[in-house]
Amino acid sequence: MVARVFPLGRSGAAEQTETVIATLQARPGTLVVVDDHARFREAVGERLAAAGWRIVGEAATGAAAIDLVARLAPDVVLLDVVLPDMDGFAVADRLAAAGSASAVVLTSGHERGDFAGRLQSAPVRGFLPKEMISGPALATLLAGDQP
Amino acid sequence: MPRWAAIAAIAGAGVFAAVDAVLEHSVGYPWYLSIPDALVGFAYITGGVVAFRAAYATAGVVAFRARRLDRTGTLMTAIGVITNLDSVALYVHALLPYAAWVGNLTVPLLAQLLLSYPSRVVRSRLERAVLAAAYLQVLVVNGAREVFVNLHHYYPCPCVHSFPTVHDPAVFRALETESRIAYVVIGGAVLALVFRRWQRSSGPARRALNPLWFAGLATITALILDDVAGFVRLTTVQNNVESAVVSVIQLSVPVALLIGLVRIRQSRSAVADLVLALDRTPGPAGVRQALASALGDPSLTVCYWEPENQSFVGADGRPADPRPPPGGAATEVTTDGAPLAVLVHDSELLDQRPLLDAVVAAARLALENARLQAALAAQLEEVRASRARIVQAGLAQRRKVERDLHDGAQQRLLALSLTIAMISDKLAASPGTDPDLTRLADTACGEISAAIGELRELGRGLHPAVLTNEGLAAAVETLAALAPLPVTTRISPARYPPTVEATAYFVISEALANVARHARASKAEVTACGDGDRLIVEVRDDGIGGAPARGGSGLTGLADRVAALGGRLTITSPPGGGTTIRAGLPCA
Repeated sequence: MVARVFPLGRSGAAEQTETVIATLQARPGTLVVVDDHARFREAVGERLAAAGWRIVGEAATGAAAIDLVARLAPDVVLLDVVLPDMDGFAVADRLAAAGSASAVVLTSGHERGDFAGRLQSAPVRGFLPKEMISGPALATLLAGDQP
Repeated sequence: MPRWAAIAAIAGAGVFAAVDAVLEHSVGYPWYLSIPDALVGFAYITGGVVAFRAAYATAGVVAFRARRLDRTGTLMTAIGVITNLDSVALYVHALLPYAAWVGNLTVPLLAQLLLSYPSRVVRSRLERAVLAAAYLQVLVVNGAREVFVNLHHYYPCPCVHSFPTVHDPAVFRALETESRIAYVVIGGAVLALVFRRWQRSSGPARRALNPLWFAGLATITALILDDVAGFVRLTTVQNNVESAVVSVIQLSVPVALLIGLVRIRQSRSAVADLVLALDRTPGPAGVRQALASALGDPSLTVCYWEPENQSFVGADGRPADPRPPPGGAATEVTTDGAPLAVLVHDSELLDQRPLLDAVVAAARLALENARLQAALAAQLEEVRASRARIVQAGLAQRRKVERDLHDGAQQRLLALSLTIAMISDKLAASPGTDPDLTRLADTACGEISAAIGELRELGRGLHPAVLTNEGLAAAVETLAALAPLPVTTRISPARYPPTVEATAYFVISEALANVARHARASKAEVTACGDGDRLIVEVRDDGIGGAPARGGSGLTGLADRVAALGGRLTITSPPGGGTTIRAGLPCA
């Protein structure tokens, strides 16, 4: 399975568009973390930064997230499902409608099964339970496999 | 007037009327008329006289028998008797002057009837004065007039009578003119008074009395015109036609009285019907229906006074407003001076005060019973509502606790798990780390994962997130997947109110848990589908059956919760025939 992950020239000259085979791990790029829990954003940021991701922005609400993603056009948006103003699915829909090219990865303290039906149809790359967030897990998901 | 005397008078009038009619037909009436005139007179005789007298007599008897109208009946009968008198006098000539004397009593009698109907007495001073003048005129002046008449002037017959006479045509003519003028004046005054009474009445009362008043007005007008016609010289034919017309108009009075009596009787029978209806259909709803039909007001409502809450409630026990809407009126019903109920009805009913009073009196006991039932219903309604509120509050509380757990402690644990995972990663990456440290970090990582898992289970038990997010169908799929036996599901994808979805979910969850624990079943089936305004949930297994009718304590609690929402949970579990648990949940 082949997936195009990083658009040309976004993260600097060294990173060309490349094809990534599923068995390989995608190379980290830019990331926006959306979660209303500040301490959690901090922990996620530390963990993924350690894995090589560049955290370019953080948002605590759906509205702020839409604004931020439009301005920064990150490679990946790590998006909490439960937000104070709208849920993550609504944010994903709005981003898709706005033509965003960022890959959206939903995350939640709930399990995948709790959103079973909606995950099927949402314009997102995948779902990652919060406690399973790590550099390798995110890369695997982006490469096309659910962890 | 004693009853026997009235009955005797009425019977006498009837006999006279019959004899009169027979004689008039066989002998010819009056015998001095020429043939063509007699033909005109025939219409008068048959159409007028017989019917007229019979009608007055009948109306008199009927009115007399309607107890409150005995005065009216007496007057009516008297009019019948007096109008018969001149016919009798034609055969018994000795009566002629007497008949001429009291014959005119018809007008004061009729006036008294109209001014006293239906209240028996004439209250107004003016009305009494006019009546007194009318009686005085007839009894005194007319009597004097007859003293001066030469009867042969009127009736060319050999008259023998005991009436004292003077035979002075000049005085007679003067008195006769005076009589006619007085007739017109008094008649006009009565006409005005009757019209005034009609104008002052209103609504249903006016409608009930209309026939008699219109007939009375027409009759008095006709009698005045008849009298005025006496000034003009008419041909015999004209005279007969005029007499016939006047007679026919006079007929309208007894007919109108009978119509009025029928109306009164109808309102009496309304009360009788009410008593029967109250006996047949007790309870607040039956009382309201019975009162509405007895009073002829389908919009009628009954508000019962609840002394405990110092407020009004309707038949269903819910709070009710006893203030009448525009065009409505409220009638308070008391028992021993204490408020009992308020009838809210059409304001037109106020004009039928006697009917309203009779109906209220007949219904008072039933109203007291209905009030007790309404009070009971009010308490039940209160209990039912508070039970539903408690269950809803409980469910809302569970949702809130689940959310708080998820948003609070769980988020912190999740952040912590990431941090510890990082520590673990870093320790693993740095060479020469104490292996104990790595092991401890891994242990902490596992513990936190376990804690997160337990917390998640706890939240799911409180209120499954999938139910809020995805609805009943997805939530039941999750349950089915976790069950230790094959479970087929057929769940309507529609969304229902949160309380209904939560209750349905917990019923299914508990039922599936029971299947796994007790049923020894090989498979189970879960269905949930809308049926009108209800959600029907059913869990069926093919196990050993024989579950206790009220289920285990878990199911009893669920049955209570279902009942609190106004639903019903039933368990069918014949030994060896599997178990079916079915709950109907109202969604309104």
